[in-house]
Amino acid sequence: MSRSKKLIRNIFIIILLSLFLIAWLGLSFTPLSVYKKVERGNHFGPSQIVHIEDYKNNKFILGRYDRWVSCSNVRRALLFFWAAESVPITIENDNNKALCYTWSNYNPMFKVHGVINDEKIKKVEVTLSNGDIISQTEFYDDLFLLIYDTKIKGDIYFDSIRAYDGESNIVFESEY
Amino acid sequence: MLSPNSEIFIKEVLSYVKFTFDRKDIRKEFEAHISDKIEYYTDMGYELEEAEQRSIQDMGDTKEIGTELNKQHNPVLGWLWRITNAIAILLFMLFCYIIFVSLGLFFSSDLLETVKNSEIVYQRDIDKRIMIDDVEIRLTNVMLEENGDLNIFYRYYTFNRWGNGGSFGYLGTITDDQGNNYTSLSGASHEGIITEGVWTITDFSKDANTVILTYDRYNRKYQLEIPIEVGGAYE
Repeated sequence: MSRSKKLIRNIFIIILLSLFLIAWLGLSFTPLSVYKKVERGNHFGPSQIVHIEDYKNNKFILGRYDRWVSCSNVRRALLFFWAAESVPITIENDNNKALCYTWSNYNPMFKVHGVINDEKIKKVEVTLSNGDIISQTEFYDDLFLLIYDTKIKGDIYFDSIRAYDGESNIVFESEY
Repeated sequence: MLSPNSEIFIKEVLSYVKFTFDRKDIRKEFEAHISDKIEYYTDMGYELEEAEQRSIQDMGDTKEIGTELNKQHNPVLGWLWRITNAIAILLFMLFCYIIFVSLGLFFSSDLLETVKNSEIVYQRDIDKRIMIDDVEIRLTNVMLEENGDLNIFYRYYTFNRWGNGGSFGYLGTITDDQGNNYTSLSGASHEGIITEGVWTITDFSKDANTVILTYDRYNRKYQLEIPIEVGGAYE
């Protein structure tokens, strides 16, 4: 076999094995492809994507599926690919509550997301265990997402959440 | 063993071949050619020294041969070939490792054998199937232990294990035909492309004849009833 033929054979083998490894490692060429795989793998969705938040090499994808709201985190991997960073964090919406939320702490990313049921709510504010406050006033439809990089300030946890109306009156409040 | 003259000839030719990894093979080829020629001329009656001289002359001009050989043994192609060889071998080793790990369950202990025979009150092969999205979970065996642990053995196939979740740790609500609700559940598994595992329900009721699994999550639903025919043995 000539060297050029051997080279073609090698390239073919490399492509074949690479595809196998990419599939096995759960890598995809696009973040949305990973997102779909993660949802299916966790027997959830398919969600309708409401918002995608870029943060460093991560994408936080807020989605809605039936009465659930979810946030998945995908990240860049091996330069060209995307991989799942976390399983979908879901919350079932309860329309009787002014606000439904959940939080998760996949190091180094702490995030709080949820759904706003009371139209009066104009601001969502989360207090963390280290005293820091993160807030949001512009929502994605009726969903919100707050991200906090724990790598900068160390390990923290959720402490409390408050939601305010346009006149800074507390509409919703919950503590851990 | 070739004479110094032949060695000089070969060295000169090889000096034109830039892809050094091929020089060894080229050298062997020349050594064979020159030896054959020397044999030919000595058979014709020439002295060894004369035969060698003629053999080298027959080979041709070192520069011409070397330049041509360098074209044939293109260094770019040569390096690409060697690099792709190394990558292919590395990927193949990774592939073998994954397959080995995936099939590790065949080499690991059988989960069924982790329970001593003397502790088994009841055991039966079953063939119940649960389909969730594109994963089919096959329940293969049910075993009740003396201490009240009810083990349900399962197997399923999945490819995208790493990074995409997909493990099946949630069984659903567990009840029995007597209306008891079980919240204490543990499990163990050998995971890979083929995953084998066991769910263990603790303190299973002595009066119950059927365990009922009810899954209702994210619009996926199933209900399974598994008969436990203990009779009087579990008294």
